[in-house]
Amino acid sequence: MAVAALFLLLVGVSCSPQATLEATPQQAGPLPLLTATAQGAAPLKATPEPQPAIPEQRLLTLEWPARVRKGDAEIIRLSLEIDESGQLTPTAWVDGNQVLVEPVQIPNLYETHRIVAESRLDIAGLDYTPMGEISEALLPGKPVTFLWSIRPEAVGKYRGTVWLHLRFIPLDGSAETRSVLSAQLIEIEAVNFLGLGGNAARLLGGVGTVLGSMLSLDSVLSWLWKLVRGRKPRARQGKR
Amino acid sequence: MNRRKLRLVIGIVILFISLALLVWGLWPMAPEVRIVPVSPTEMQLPLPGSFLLGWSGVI
Repeated sequence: MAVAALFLLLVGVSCSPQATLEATPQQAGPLPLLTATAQGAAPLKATPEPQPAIPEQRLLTLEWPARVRKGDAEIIRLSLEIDESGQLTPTAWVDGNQVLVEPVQIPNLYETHRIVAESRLDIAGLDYTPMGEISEALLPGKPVTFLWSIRPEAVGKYRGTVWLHLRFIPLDGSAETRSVLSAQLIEIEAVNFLGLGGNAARLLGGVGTVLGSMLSLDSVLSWLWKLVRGRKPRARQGKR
Repeated sequence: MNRRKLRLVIGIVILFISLALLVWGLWPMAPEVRIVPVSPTEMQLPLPGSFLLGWSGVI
């Protein structure tokens, strides 16, 4: 009995953390704080060379319908066009005088990478197509355009985001990178008239116009005819 | 005469409401346009280590 108790005591002591720490004395004490600049290593610093860039001034144009009739289809258009009036040379206006900054030689990204523009529309509650991402190659001097067709099935306000990414695929086969170029918030309101959507309003309006014309213009036309006929005999009498 | 007048009034009312529906249904909805200039500096390669500058971690 005493031997069993002594055995159990020895097992308990051997499993305790204290015993573990004692077995590896070099791990005792708090762990050191590691930083990016370790002792003796050179600190990280930004490269002074300019990053390769697309040497074009572009304009991002987003067109979307602020109001849409319920049930009608509309178009959202996003395009990345060349800005003909844009200046690649950085300029500054100081006290009304134009100051030209010396242009910096920036490596042309088109020479080292294949660039793909990717766009996506995120808007909840609205039917739209195409869903997911649309990709189009970005070529020098050429615009890219993305189109979505939307159709609201219910009245209300819909808020969404139009994303535009650029994917840089190196021509030497190394890993590609992707960055967000723009994220534009949009708001679309779906409306109706007297509870009717676009198609129903047009159909009912057309039918009602014909019916109303038949009911009312019939009387109006006969009244006009009587007026014209009534004047003619009087005119004849006046000439005599 | 009353019947004729009633028919005329009803016809005119239907005509006006229908024309209003037709105009609303066919009126073009003006789109919103937003133009944002994009400079070459915004179309640069993202720096691979830019998010690591000044990072400190505890292990």
